[in-house]
Amino acid sequence: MATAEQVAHTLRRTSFAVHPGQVSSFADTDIHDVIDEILSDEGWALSEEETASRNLEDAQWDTLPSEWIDRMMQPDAKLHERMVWFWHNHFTTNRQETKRSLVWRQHQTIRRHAMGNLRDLARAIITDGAMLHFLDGSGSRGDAPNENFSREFMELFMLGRNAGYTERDVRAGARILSGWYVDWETDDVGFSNEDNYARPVEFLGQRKRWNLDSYLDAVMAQPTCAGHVAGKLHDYFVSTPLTDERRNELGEVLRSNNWELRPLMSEMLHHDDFVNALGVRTREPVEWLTAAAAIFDLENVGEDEGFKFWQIYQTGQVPFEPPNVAGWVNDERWSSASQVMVRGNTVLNWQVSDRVINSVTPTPEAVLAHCGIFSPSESTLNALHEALAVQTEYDHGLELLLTMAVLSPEFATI
Amino acid sequence: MTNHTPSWYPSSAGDPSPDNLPVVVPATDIERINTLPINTVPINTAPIYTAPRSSRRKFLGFAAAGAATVGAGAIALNRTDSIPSVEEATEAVADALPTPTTRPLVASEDVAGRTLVVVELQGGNDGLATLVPRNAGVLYDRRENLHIPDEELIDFTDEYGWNPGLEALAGHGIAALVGLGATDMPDGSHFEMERRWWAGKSSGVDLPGTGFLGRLCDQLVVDQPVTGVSLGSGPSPAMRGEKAVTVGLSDPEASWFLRNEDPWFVNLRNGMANMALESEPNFGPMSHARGGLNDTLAFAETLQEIDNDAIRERYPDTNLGRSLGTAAQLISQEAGLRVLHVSLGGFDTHSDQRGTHENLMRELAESLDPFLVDLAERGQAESTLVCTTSEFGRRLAANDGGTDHGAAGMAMLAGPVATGVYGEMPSLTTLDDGNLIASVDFEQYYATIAEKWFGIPSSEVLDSGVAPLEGLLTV
Repeated sequence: MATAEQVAHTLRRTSFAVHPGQVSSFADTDIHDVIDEILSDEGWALSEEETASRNLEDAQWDTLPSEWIDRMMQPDAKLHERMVWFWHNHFTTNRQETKRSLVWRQHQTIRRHAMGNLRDLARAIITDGAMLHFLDGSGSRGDAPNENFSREFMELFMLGRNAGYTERDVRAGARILSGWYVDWETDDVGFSNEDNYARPVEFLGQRKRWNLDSYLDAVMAQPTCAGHVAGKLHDYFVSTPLTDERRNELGEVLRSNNWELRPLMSEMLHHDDFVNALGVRTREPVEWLTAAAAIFDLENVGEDEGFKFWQIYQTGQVPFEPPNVAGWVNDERWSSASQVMVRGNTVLNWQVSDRVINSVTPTPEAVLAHCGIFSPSESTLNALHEALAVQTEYDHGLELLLTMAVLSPEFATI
Repeated sequence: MTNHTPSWYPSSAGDPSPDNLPVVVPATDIERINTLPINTVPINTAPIYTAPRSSRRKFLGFAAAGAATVGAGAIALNRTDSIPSVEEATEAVADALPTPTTRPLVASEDVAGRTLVVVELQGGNDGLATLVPRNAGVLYDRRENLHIPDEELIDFTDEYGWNPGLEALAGHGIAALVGLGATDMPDGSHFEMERRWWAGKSSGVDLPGTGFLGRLCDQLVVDQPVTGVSLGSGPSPAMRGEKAVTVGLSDPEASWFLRNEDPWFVNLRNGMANMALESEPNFGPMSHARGGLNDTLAFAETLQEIDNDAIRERYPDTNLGRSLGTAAQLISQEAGLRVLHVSLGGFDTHSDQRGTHENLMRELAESLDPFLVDLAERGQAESTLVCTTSEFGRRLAANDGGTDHGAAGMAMLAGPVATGVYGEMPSLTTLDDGNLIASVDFEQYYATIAEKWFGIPSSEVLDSGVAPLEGLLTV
């Protein structure tokens, strides 16, 4: 049977907010049954209203990042939502460089394919309107091709830097993809024969006339492709060092399943590498914010929209506004001093719910367990005990312990 | 206006000073950005969310890590052509790490209070559109759509004029270093070239785990808590050191709860300090998180009140403007900060370059101009060197309305510099796959900063130990 610690680890890696009571609901369940249930997540369907809104109202645009984070807070935001977030940070687009309607359409596209098929997703991305803007595919003509998308598609999205292609392939790829455009007025994505470089091009070792599908097939036929994408999923979801052998294994799972993503996720999450990967990487801000808000039992990460956006902005991880095409880098900088200051500010503006006040005993052990920390370090445990011993003047011991727990080194890692 | 005092905050403790409260009102200028046509959407606009005047929170960013893994970086610092044995490597680590009592290796009264401000132009700044060669027919032929007419250029020398966006800098003595880049196998990738610039290793081979600016800080550290700081957007791996504490400052006022003397907050701070103590588990992410807590408490001690009203009065309300305004105040506190890093993004001008780039030049100049004046008024002009970096320049030939990734670019320097053009302008006809060939390696540029500005032998901070450039600095 899975321990509470194992369940808590699995839930916080495969969803965003782990709400009070969720861990105990899996008591007496084998950890692999927990993982199977997680893998069965289909995500939620967007409402007709959401799907139809080709032109988001200004208000929705302004609050889009915090609305998504609030949506991540909902109990039904599970593995599917995590994968939407993963692809959002893989096939990156900054909303400031395109149109609101196209950003929303891209979000829906990613949502549709998040746990589906990698080839379908990649194909949709090549001709995605927001992406055509962001990486300058739109307007790229055969006689003056723009290399931006061609380079990043191979370097970042599909193959890895210099992994199976050359600078000449970057330039050839740009020629092949020239002619695709998005109409600024109508949002229609189209292909202009006139602007396409229609002549034969040598690309990835073959000289011929190309189209979108033959281009994509050639990229995905590179031996580096499956391992690159699978490796990036592994880095995010498992976050332990990846051997070449394991990378090849995971790539093979992806390739032999015709690029379906679910078998790969199953292979990764059921593996001991994942089950035992406790506290091996730094929690990114979106993970921290949603997790901490659930600790305080909040329905969303803040009441006041302006303040909510400010605190998200301060973390440096605003959804739809990645710093560049490589997306946010998940490393130890996410637990640096400026994050600590922002996090302190955020928590000090939250009010813990009555449900938590009534159900969590103000002792270090109970508060840490409430935060999913079952094996605290000696220093953290001592720090909470000492703080509680001194905290006699005011009756706010629970808030002090909760604040310390979410600022603890343990909570900063995942 | 919402009062964000914690609702459970002990009322008996008295109200915190209003200045100490995070106060926020709703966004106001989001509309402006969203209604602009694409060609004029400001890339890397400062916050979509505009913090209100009553608020003191205006920054975005996060810190470079304080302490990096000891080992890889230190070994690389003293790397010879042969792979060091374990013993040699251990010695190298010991040699490369200054001890707390060691003064900078070349210590002199002259360099004691000197400060470096690095402005990173992210995305690959087009050198040929920043400092424009006059009457270059080849340039016109290859870039007809990007051409800046001679009469619009800001006068500089007979051969060069500045981009018209830089008008605000016309009165300041600026030096230009042209032909700057990686002379050894330059790469077309942003991320690869950023890594090389940050690490201070132009070849990209055996990149150290530390950043060049972090290693400068390691040499400059004295008994002050913080030596380097990144301000504004973006982490700077360039600031990663081994010994010196370098932090990212998102917003000076975010530290209010670290200065509040109410017993509850004192208790919280003690708790944070205790949680930062070493104990198991103590590997990678846990130990970094403890470092984050430590740096937070250390920096709160260093950090005095920043006067944001004064910044608003004289600087543009942009990320760069606010960062430089804060930098000027931090420098004049003389609290041990020696290296400051700020950045401006949006230079990846694959399309619509003509207007976009000129706007970026204007944003740069209109923030640097008040900064240089501010420094002079604070008596820091002669002790502060300002210089730019960018991962690469751009291709000679336009792709139509923009330019793709290139190789050699240029840098601008301000402060105690001898105005003029340094380095050698690469040929516009002999190219490497369409790109300008660098004549000055960026490690030479770094060596100049290390030796001529800080009195640190370049061999202490750069693998190559390359010689500095002469004549650029007036000190």
